[in-house]
Amino acid sequence: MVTKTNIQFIILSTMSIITFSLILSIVLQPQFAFAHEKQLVSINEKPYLFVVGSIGEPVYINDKSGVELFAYIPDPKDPLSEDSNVTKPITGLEKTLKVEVSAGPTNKTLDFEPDEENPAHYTATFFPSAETTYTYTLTGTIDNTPVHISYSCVPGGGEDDDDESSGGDNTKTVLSQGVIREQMAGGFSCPMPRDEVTIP
Amino acid sequence: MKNLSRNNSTKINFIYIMFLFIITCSISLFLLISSISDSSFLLKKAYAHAIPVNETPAPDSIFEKDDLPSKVIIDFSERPVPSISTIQVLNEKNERVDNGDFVIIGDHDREAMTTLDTKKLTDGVYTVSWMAQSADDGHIAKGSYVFVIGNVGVSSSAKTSSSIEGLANDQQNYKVQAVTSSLDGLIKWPLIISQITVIGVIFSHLFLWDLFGKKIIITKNKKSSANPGSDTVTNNMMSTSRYNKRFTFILVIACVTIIISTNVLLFLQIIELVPNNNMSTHVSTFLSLMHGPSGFLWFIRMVTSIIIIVCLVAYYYFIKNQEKTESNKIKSHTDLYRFGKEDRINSFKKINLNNEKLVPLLLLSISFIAGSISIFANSLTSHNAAVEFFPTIAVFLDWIHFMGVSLWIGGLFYISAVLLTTIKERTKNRDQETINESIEVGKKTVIPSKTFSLNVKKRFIFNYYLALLLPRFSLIATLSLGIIGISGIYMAWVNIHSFNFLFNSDYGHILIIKLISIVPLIILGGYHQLKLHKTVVRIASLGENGDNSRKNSNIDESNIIDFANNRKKNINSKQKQNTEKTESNQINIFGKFSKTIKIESLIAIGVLLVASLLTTTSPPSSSTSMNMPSMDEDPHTMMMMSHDGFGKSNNMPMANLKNNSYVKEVNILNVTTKLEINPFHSGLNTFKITFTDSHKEPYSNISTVRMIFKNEQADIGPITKKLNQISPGIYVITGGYISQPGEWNIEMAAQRPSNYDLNYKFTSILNSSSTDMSTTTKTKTNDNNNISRNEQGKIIKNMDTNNSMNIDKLSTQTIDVSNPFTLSAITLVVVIGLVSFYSYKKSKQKLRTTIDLLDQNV
Repeated sequence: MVTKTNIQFIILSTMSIITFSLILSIVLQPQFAFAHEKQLVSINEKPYLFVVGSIGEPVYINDKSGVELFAYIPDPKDPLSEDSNVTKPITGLEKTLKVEVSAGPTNKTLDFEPDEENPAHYTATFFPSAETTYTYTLTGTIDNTPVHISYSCVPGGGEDDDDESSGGDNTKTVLSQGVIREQMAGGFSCPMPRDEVTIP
Repeated sequence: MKNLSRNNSTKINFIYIMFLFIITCSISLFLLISSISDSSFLLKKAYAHAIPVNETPAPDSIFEKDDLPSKVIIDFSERPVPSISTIQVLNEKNERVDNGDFVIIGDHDREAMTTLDTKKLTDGVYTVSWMAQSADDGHIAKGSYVFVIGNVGVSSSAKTSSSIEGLANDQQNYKVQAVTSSLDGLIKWPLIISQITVIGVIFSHLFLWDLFGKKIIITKNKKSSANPGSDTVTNNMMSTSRYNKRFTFILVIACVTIIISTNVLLFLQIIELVPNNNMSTHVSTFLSLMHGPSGFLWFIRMVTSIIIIVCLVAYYYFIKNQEKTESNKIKSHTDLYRFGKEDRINSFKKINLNNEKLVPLLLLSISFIAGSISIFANSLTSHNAAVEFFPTIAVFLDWIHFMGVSLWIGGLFYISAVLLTTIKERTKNRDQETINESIEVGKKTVIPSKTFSLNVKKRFIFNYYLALLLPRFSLIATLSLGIIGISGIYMAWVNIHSFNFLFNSDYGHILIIKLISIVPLIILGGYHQLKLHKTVVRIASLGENGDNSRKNSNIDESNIIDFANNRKKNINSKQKQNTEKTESNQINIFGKFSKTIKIESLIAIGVLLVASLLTTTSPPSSSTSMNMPSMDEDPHTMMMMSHDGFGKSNNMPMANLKNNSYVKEVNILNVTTKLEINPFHSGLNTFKITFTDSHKEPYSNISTVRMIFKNEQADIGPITKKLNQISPGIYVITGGYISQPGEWNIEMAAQRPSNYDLNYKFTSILNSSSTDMSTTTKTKTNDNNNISRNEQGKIIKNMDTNNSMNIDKLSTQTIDVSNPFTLSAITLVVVIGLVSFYSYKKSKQKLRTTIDLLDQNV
């Protein structure tokens, strides 16, 4: 029997199924999260995880941006994870560590500002003004050992498609005496020209 | 009087809602499947076959003895099935030098690797033979290429080059062959016909028969002098048991055909993969296939077919039992005739209880949904699953297209093979007995009891039925044609891209044949709806008017034609003669319709053959994304690739791609940068960037060169690719990064140690990947940005607005911002949509008019 109630029921149940399916399909979409570069570094045989990127990605030329650093003692089982319960923040790095920002032939050394809310978080503000590769080099000492760890942005946004693997590059590289890069993964984009998004 | 109209109208609405419900449930199911399958199954970047996009070692590459390759890595355009796919490396003696450890690597599951036994690598030419079954569409492709170690023959590089060239000329070592052949298409033919039959026949049964056709009742009242008023029997126009037997039989046969075709297809794949007669290899290949897309398709088709068979058998026996019960109930009403019409209507209502309707409806709905899933499985592994432009939409529209075809062509099959055949059989079985009977449609009597031959009455009632059937089926046909047209144009657009591919590729040719072969179907449909229907309605109303007249004049069977002529007594004698003939012919209009509908069905079967061949032909967007095969080539040859750098082709059929390179030389921060893209079309391209300083020497102060590809309209990118340095100042990469026509933002960024990057970017509108390519390009370099430093060393950047944009015209041919193919597609979609909507409204109007007209005459 076709009654008004039946029709309403059919329409409502159909709409519910479609809505549920749509929500499910959106929720199950693969997530893309890389906007920072991770480097697992061994300093005097102690592991450190440094995650570096630009503040407020995507960064546009002449906009306020800067370097942000997250420093952790990593989880030995999942050393590239920032979310592990075992991961511990490293505090007080602003006292011994600076960041050298280089763009083309120019460079500038900036101090880190600690984040009161997040003990692992440090920032150094600057205004990028050229469309070029920016390199952030962490300089100073950690555990009384001189460090010189560089991170370069990738033109066009994020990492190279060839390096998308979450496992990243496992090649061990000696950065300086007592400092070995064990692993690296991810990437961050270089500042982009404003005219791409400027109106009018 | 208006009861029938209202009744029909309510039932049409009910059917419409049911249809909507089933469709939306299926959509939901589709969304769920696509979501649960992690999106990677549907949302992937792929081509129609798994073919190499990038190889390491590269084809034609030459290795020194001290730099031997340790592995072969091939990046395929689609995900190869690891259990089936292989990479073999053979030396000149045809001995394998690989370790047979084929493995899938990388994030996208499209990269395959096998390691080499370096101890076996000596000077010589090595052939890499690969075979891949696509996990995306199940199609199989194979091919090979060569690389060289050390010196070959006389120790000169020239000799080496000529050796490679010789191999290239052999055309054995560079070809990519589609293993999936036309034979697969032929076997798919009965499969597709059967899938369409299942959907179309079930739907038509519900839409044209279950709630409409079977309401036509013939009440025989053998109230003869010999046996007065003793026996009253109510029959349907045709025997329901005979009808159900035929209906079930056709569907079961269709399901059995699906099962057989599916198994034959699987068997054929095994034969294609294992040409020798080694049984153990066949078994292992079978097991491997079962784990791939072929196994998935096999499973879905088998399971859905079995479900349909079970449901149909249950349906058949349920209806049979119901008939027995009905018959007993009717027989118990021995005085039915005496109760008059209202009593018969009430009796009819009592017999057709809702519960008794629910079970068969449920069984048929399950069968319909199972059939839809079977068709959906086809769409999941079709060419549309492999397009780069929103594959989910393409898959969905492929399914909608198939469903539309099923409703239309399956409806034709239903009318010609089930409905008309049963009626014909019924007519043949009846003698020209003279009995007293009335014929009813639903609740009303069309022809009241009179002494006429049953066959003559049947002709009238069949015409009556036909008069209602035609516009009713027209509703399905017009709606389906609209859906088929719009979805078909979209699929042609995503798979073909240009008129050039439409007219110059195998896929395009088959598509044109398919479109042409549909024309007779549409003409025949138009004939049925416009000409035949008019005649049928006239005869149907003639029969009823005749009945009214007969009430007064006691006309018997022999006077029918005279009666028809009397209606036109004002016309002259010559016209009268013609009218006689016409009326006489019109009496047999039912026979005419039977013939034309069968012809229409046969043409439809032919169209489905073309459609099945289309499913096994690679669309040009994939098979010819690099280049199009020339027409006199082996039809299985899909492509031959050049990976040896730039501007040089290895016997490639590139004639139609000449002059389509992008070459641009700019001075960026005092570095001359030459960018070359060849052949600069959607598909595989080679990108080469050469840097020279002011002295024309290679500029080598570069750390990394990247290219970034973005297509914002299609939501693609940014795709960032690092170029390989092949010599100082020269960087190259080959790949399908410009994957489709449209507006592409292409950027080059060369990073320099302690210096600013060299940036170059341009926007290009690629209309197609072939000769009629029209490209408009806007370029921009960071030279225009006038980067300088002031006295304090601060970087100052001034935008030179005058120079910020240059427009270069690349193509030597006509420059056109819009793709004519796209414009034509949009226009056609609009036209088809409007025509379909208009036709649907007209059909609906015609149905109502017909019902009203026939109602008035009772």
